[in-house]
Amino acid sequence: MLEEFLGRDVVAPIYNKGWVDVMVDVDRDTGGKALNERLKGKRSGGLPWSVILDEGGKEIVSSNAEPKGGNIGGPVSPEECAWLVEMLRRSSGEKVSAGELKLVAAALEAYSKPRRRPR
Amino acid sequence: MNKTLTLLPLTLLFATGVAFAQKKAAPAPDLTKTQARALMHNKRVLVVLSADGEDFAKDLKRNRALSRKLLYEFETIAFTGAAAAKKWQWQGAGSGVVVTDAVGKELGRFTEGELAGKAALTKLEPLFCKPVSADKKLATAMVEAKKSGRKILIRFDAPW
Repeated sequence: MLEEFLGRDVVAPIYNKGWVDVMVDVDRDTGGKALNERLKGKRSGGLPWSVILDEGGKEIVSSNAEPKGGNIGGPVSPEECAWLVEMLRRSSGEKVSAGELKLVAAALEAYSKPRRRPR
Repeated sequence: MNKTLTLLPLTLLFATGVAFAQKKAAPAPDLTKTQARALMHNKRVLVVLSADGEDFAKDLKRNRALSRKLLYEFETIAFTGAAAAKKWQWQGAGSGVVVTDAVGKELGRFTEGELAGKAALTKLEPLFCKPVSADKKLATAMVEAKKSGRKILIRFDAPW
């Protein structure tokens, strides 16, 4: 779901400007599970799980949303979507503008809303 | 209707395949996107070619020896009838599959008869992608990030 969203025409040019995309399949990639465990540590949540690193491999932010720490997985709910946008905001640096992040946030809302279950 | 597949389970492929077969003027399947996903996920592309009036994708799904492997090892795309014959030079009368790598190089083609039962796995298994190292992926991304001044977003997932 996240992959599909990040690949959308509106989102992909902004995403690719700010982030190098890496997909690790924990079943098929050699050492995928070990890398997942190494980066995730003891934090909660299953798959999908994501993390943003700087160019030196140091973690900036993960999909464990603050303050409670639950993994947003493939974000659908308003809270999950907000955390994904926050992840991008915290790691955007100078490559991606606030206006572009707003575009991504709006696109995420439009993408996720029809997928939400009524509360 | 977009007939190409994403990370959707095969069940969705087959569900949409039926509707696709019933529509006469459906848009062409997006092979480029399918190949891009195959490249991203280190998979092959399985082009399912159904003869008019058939749904070979559905038959493949029923093949228990194969269905899970299909999901794990292939990005799948379906062509039907004349489109299959023209695009893939499919000379055979019935249905079949063409296997390509992520850049479109053909690796094999099989008729429906050749993929019956357990023979399907025997035929397709030698064409699976070799596993890639997750650490190597990360190392490559770090080099790229340093070069371009970007950050790295790693998504961990599994095909199930």
